[in-house]
Amino acid sequence: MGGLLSRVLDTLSALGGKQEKRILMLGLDAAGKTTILYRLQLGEDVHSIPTIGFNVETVNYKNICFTIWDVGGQDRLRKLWRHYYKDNDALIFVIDSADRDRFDEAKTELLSLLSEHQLSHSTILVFANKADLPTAIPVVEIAQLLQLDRAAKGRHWYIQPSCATTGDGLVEGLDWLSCKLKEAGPRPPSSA
Amino acid sequence: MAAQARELLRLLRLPSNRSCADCDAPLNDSTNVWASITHGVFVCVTCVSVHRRVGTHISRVRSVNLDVWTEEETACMRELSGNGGNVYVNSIYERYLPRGCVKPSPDAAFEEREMWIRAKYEHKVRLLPFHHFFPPSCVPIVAFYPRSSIAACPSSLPAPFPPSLPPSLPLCFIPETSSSSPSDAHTDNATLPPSLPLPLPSFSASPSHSQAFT
Repeated sequence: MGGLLSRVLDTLSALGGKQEKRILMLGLDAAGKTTILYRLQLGEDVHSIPTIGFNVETVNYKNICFTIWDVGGQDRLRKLWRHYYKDNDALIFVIDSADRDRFDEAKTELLSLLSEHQLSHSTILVFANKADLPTAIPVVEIAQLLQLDRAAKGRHWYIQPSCATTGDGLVEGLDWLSCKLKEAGPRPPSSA
Repeated sequence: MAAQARELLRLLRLPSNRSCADCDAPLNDSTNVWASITHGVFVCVTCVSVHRRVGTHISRVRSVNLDVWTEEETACMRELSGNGGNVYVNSIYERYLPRGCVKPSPDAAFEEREMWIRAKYEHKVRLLPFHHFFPPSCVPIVAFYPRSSIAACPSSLPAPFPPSLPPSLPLCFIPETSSSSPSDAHTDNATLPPSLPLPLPSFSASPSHSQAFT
């Protein structure tokens, strides 16, 4: 019944022109998730403190209402990520591209997320954040290292370099996401 | 409890670690204390926001409570501070704090903290006695900031070498001290002798280099 109602609501909102999409934003601590969230929502560089728990905001872009969930990325908070997996249209994974020492850790977390059944229908957008820093790994190299063509085979994915403090690259990422989500239409009803 | 967690708590309970290394806010609640493993200091949640912003090549931070520490990271904290805690590390990083230069208070604005933390850890302007090389008359150390960092916070920093600096400028202003010796210009609480070379630890951003001290 809930699934039917959800589909009816999705159809009605599609007819009305406005789609609602639920986005989950994850990544290691200090990758820039909260700064991205508030840069997208407010258009300014918010001085955020480390997220203990989550932030959720809605962002309207190109006739889509994105509800973005930003969940803290500290070691002990990552166990809580699974509680946010259900009913997402897309996963935004944020990498600190200047943090070479923890790149493998970020890759491991991303690959683990890609293997989650509840995220199997999610479109994947990777923000290679902090691309402005001198030690940043070039996006081409990030693409080679992540090997998403193999790990995310059969789903839409995209890696976008970004700088959350200035906002560079964020709109481009959201642009790609909105195109793919419009193509995809309403998400399939949750089986769980 | 893991050995690393025990060691961290031991370090955190040192009298020299009772307050934030950058703003002196009390670090009473160990569940909300953060550490820069690059520099071996414990900081409050507000100052750690600035450390996170400047990048891991300048400061790599961990939460005492929310992160799982490796033995290597714990050793960084122990070795860099030499068991002397924030007070010891500050005696190096804030050694040549010019008279009139005020450390941010626990309720300081973000911009003020950012200027302080960038000057301290990124540009390291207080590690060396700049007034040995420049005339002592009114040299604003803001002039030593790269222009890029000034552009990053235009509202909070004046342009380098302005004709007249506002007297309330919180940071990095060396007043006229024509009769004073160079050693007079740094803080009274600097505990190290002024002679070089400084007993500096490596300022590598990578914790893996801490093995040099073990």
